Amino acid sequence: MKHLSIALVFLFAAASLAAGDIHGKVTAKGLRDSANAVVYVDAIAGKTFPAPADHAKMDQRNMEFTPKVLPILVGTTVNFHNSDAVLHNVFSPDACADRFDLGAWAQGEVKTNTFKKPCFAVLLCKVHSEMEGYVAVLPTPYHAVTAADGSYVIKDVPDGTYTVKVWHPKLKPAHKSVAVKGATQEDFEIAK
Amino acid sequence: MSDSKELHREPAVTALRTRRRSRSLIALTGTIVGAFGVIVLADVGSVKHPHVSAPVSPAVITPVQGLSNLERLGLSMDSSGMGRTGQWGPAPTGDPLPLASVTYSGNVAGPTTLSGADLYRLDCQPCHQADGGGAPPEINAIIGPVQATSAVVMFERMKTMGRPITPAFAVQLANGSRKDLMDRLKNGGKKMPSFGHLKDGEIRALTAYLELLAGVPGAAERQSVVTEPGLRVGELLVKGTCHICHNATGPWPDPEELLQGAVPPLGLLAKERAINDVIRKVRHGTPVVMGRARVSYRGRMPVFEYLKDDEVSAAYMYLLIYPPENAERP
Repeated sequence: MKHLSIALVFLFAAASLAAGDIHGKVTAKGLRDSANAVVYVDAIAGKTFPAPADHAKMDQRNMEFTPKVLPILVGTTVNFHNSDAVLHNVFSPDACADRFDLGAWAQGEVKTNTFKKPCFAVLLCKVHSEMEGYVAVLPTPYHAVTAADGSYVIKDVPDGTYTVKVWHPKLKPAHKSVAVKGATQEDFEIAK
Repeated sequence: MSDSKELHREPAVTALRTRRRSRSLIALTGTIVGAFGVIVLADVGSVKHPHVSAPVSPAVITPVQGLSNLERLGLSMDSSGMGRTGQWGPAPTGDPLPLASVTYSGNVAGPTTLSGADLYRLDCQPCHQADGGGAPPEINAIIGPVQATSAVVMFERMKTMGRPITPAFAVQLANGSRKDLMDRLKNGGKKMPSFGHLKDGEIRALTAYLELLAGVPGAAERQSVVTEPGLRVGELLVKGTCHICHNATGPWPDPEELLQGAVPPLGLLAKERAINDVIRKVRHGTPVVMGRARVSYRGRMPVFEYLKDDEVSAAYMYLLIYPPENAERP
């Protein structure tokens, strides 16, 4: 059974390698760096994606949400960790995230929340008002978050033409129609 | 604007209800105290021991039990700030304070009125400090968690952030935070001990004071008091402060062990030490003479200047009248 699983993983990986990717740079104008922009393939007509069984992870570490922005597919459950010695809380006032409040919990404990609708949900901590993070709940599993230099890679995107969107917590969103064939480069510029 | 008014109205209603409840609580505790009997302090030999008429124990007072909070957590006084985050107090300046200058009324049977600030001093201050700041990361500040229990604070905070929320969601957030706070008080946390022995009136007065510390709007109008038997004050002080470092029971350390920093058990305190000595040690510090050079050293116990002589006296009497189980009666 184990061997079969490994074989299936390899098969899946091989199939994925055959697909292309979308890569490039996002320039966040007016900001110190271009990190934390979410680049994603928008909803594809006639195509749905089952919610993954695996949970995503958002940590609270050194009084910050880590990662600052977590992109997930709609229906994904996020495990909220606390790596700090102090109590933390997570809540979101956003209606598209069903306005949740997960209570307070200590280091090493985990709380979960399932994000059921597409949303850019802000995450806040009632105990520490300076903390702010985001979960980007997206319609497809094809997404990436930019590094500080703005670079991104969306892996394993099947060839085709898609609307590719960019979202950033502080800047106006942008979008482009992108024809993917193998490795495809696409750059974006976003501003206030 | 009307949303804000709606939120402000609710605490006013709660405060009114609180005042009514406090009045009936005062009437009730007055009766309990009346049945409590009279406690007279008298000198017996070198150790001043109280003579106590048979007390009719109110059910709410129970002996302190078990390991100190530090020992329960496997921590040492050196590795933790618990119990000594506030005043270390001044170092002794030579001769110890003369015993005659330690004054206390000895009236621990009569009713005592405690404000929320008093309850905070007895139960919270040794770890969370006078200003509620705690000692992060080991000891959480209470300010953030208490501010989060206020719908007004959450509503205004979110508006300032440019993420306005409805009054209903502000109330939902505040209620969740209040539940978390109550849960923590009643059950404790990983490090914080349980304060499940606090009664509703005490919790009401205490949380109103926490709100005052945290700058919650309207907190000043919600302050309340509780009237308690004096021994309850002693119980609160022992369970909230002394028990952080002192085990309830165990053998009394020999002089050498005491010099090396052994922490004596609460159960034998009244047998081994006179009440004046205890008050002096707790409130002013008593130098410990160390080594052949006879260097005065205050010892490891913090000095709790912010306590009152009568409160320490009540703690002593409480330990005498309600000794921990398995402790030898003095």
